[in-house]
Amino acid sequence: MMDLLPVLLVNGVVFGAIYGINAIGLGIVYNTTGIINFAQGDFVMLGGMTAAYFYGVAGFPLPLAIICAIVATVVIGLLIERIVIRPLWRRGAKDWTYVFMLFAVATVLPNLAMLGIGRDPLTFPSFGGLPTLQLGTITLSSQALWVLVVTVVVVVALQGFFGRTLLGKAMKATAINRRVAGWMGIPVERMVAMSFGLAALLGAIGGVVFTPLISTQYDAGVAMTLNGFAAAIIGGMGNIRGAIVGGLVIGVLQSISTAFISSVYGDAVIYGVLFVLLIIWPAGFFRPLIELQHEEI
Amino acid sequence: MSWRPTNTMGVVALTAIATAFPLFGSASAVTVMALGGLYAIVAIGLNLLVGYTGKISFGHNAFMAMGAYTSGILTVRYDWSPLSAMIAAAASTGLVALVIGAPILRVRGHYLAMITLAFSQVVILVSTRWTEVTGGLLGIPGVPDFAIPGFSFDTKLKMYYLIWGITIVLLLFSFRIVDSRFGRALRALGAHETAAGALGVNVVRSRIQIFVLSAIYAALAGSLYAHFLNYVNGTFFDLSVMIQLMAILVVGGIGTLWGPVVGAVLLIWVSQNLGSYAEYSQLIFGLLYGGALLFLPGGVVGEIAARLKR
Repeated sequence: MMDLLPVLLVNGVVFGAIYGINAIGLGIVYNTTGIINFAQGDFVMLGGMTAAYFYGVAGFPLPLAIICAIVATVVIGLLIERIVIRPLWRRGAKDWTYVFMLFAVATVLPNLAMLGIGRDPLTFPSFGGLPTLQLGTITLSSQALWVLVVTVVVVVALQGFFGRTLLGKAMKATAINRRVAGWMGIPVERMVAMSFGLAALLGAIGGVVFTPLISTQYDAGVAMTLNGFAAAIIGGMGNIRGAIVGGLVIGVLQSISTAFISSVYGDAVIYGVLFVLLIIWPAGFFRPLIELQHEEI
Repeated sequence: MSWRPTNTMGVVALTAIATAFPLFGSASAVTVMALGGLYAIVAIGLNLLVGYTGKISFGHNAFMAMGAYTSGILTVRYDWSPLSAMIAAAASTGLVALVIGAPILRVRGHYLAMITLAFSQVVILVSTRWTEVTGGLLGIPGVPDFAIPGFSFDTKLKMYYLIWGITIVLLLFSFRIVDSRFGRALRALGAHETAAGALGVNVVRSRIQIFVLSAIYAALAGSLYAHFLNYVNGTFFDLSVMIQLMAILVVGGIGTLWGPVVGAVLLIWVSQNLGSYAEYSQLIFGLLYGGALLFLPGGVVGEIAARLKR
């Protein structure tokens, strides 16, 4: 069994990278709005499903299918903000209303995907273009390498975005104090829309790079949301590097517990860990970007 | 939201309607309404949690499952009487809710929602796979009819009356809670946590109490469900049940006294009349309650109350 360990670690890291990207998406929406986006995992599912649709059914070439899938998912993310979040925001709805609403979104999206695209697990070919790496006894497939490369690019790009661009700084300011950001002339509503768009973008990117590794299905979103949340709790909501570390921890734990404990209860182990973490360390191991000011929602 | 004479009239009217319904409805309609009563029980508990503390649980389908399995396993395998099994179901589920709620409800924000969602995923998964204990996908057949010493609820009609009797008692109990010192504390909590805390409300403790109570309501409904169908299966309590509960709450009216009962009756009726659209039931419920959140924030009951006031 122990010879399996390196392989499991690599698998865990690859999957964990996706959870990490998802955790960043959750953190971005949480920071700008105080809302936990229960539909985050569904962005991953949508990215994968629509890419498989554009490639397999519509017959687009793979790069075009991937771009279309990402664009479609981002548009859906923006529409969600526009149609269901903004009206609640404007009427000053209580904060649980958003949780209910996003749970409704997380109900409707998979069902639409099921009706529009199909019930069966779907996948599409590996991107190619990158070599298969052989590190001793471990093989890192070309697609796994894509996942890691894309994750690094996403992290670097986001850090540049939040650290150096005016727009990114405006979003960060909104996260830290919405009211003051508004006084400074930052269009808060547009920042909220941006955060949903960005979360959908991250989810879609995660979905398209990850789907060729196994497959995706209309109901894959819930587990993705929960794993991303577990990663975000470890990493501290909104802390980008923390989210990736959290994702890797969750990915490796899941991979190892699935192999050594039980293939069925792999998820149960993760949720158990999540529960224990929330009890002993609710703020995560890394500093969250901000401590949410509950009263200001 | 406090006690008014209209509520007494409402309870009398509800009791009359529930009593008379089987005289006019067909046998299948009675079965459907009995299920509506079960959903109403869970929704009354959830309404206390969401409507009065502002916290959300996505795990009440799992609490129902735990109630049903506890009753099923104890009565079928260990020959417990249905009543003692039901009490054990309520107590053990309440204990589990305490273990989950006590640490998580100390944390601000909506971590409870996420944790209970994870919890329910695990419970439903385990319930359909842990064959030695739960019977796996085959479930637990042969659950006896509910009985108290000297009387057996051995027909669907008798179960219907039992379920609605319990629903009305639990509804009255929820009215009492809302109207008590504890209830006022809860409402203060929902309105403004910090202010309520400053006024001496033990914020965390009140929240935990109400969460545990709502889980016990769900366990009672689950236990009744097991006796009603004489069968337990984890797939009866999957995520779609939670979706239906959400829809019941929102469409009925969160934070209104009557919302859960009205919502449960309305939506059980909708779900039974979908016919060939049953495949779309999750989509329909999702759209229904998403739409209600946007256009009918107070739900049906809240809307009617607002109209009457004018």
